[in-house]
Amino acid sequence: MNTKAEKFVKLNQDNNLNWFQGREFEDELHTAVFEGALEIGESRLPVFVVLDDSLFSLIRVVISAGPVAKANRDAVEAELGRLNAAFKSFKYYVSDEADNEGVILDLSVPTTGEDFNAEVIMYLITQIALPHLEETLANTLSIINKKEKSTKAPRKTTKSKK
Amino acid sequence: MNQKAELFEKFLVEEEITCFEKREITDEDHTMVYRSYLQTPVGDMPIFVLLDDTIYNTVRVVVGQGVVNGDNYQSLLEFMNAQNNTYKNFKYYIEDADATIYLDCINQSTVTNFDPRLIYVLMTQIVEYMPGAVEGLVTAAKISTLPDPHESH
Repeated sequence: MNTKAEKFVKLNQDNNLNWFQGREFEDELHTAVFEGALEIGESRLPVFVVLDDSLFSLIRVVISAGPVAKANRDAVEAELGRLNAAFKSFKYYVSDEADNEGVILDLSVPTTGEDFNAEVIMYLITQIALPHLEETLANTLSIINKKEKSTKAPRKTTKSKK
Repeated sequence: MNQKAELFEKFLVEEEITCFEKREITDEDHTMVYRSYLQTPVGDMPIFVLLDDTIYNTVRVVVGQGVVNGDNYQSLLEFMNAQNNTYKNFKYYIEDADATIYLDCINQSTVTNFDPRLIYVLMTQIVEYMPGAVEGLVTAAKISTLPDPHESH
């Protein structure tokens, strides 16, 4: 297991936290992925903490899984652009990758293994991302899931017989 | 001057890095701004390192000063979304107030964990990335060259 992941596991064990399920990959960077969820209103958003031997640690929240409707794409990109400008720590984007389509929120945490502080990861999830999503999620989802207005002419009502 | 800025300046002296001009902002967070320029085939871009008393350290590039308009807005959003999807260490965004494209790389650290080398590595990665990205950028922005940043920064 990589150094950052060891620190993250230790923090969770020391605090008796069972939020995350860990998974390790046999790749060059010894990637470890910890999967949990954030509950916001009626939504349960998957959260992944990705830790490896590179300079980058990543917190990824899946705002909405599945492709964005073509009719909503421009409005969604405009809203994500607005959020990216307003909230400097967060990066929103639409992912078109196969098996990973959806609207994603990333928090990148550049650090070396030596300086990695697992408490910063937990702080960013619970004190930065969670309050932010409690404030913005409903509006973001309403734009992602906006239904296209029907272009069909309204059905004529049947006149009652006199 | 904040403590992270002191450590950053010590690193710059030790490594004989002289490309930055610095400016102190008189604000609550004791912000220090270090500015240099990033060279690309379509023009120079100002690049800043912002250090203050908060846990955030920012490397910021002014990618296109005042280049955003109604005609290129949507194509720029598409370009930025694709880049934001591909590269995990930074993000592009548009500030509507000055119609400008920015790129930020944010690193979080306390003073104890602050590593000036890491800031410099993150900056170097952006400097190496940008020349290859500008063709897509100017196509999306529907321009051929960037505005001269030396006039405004």
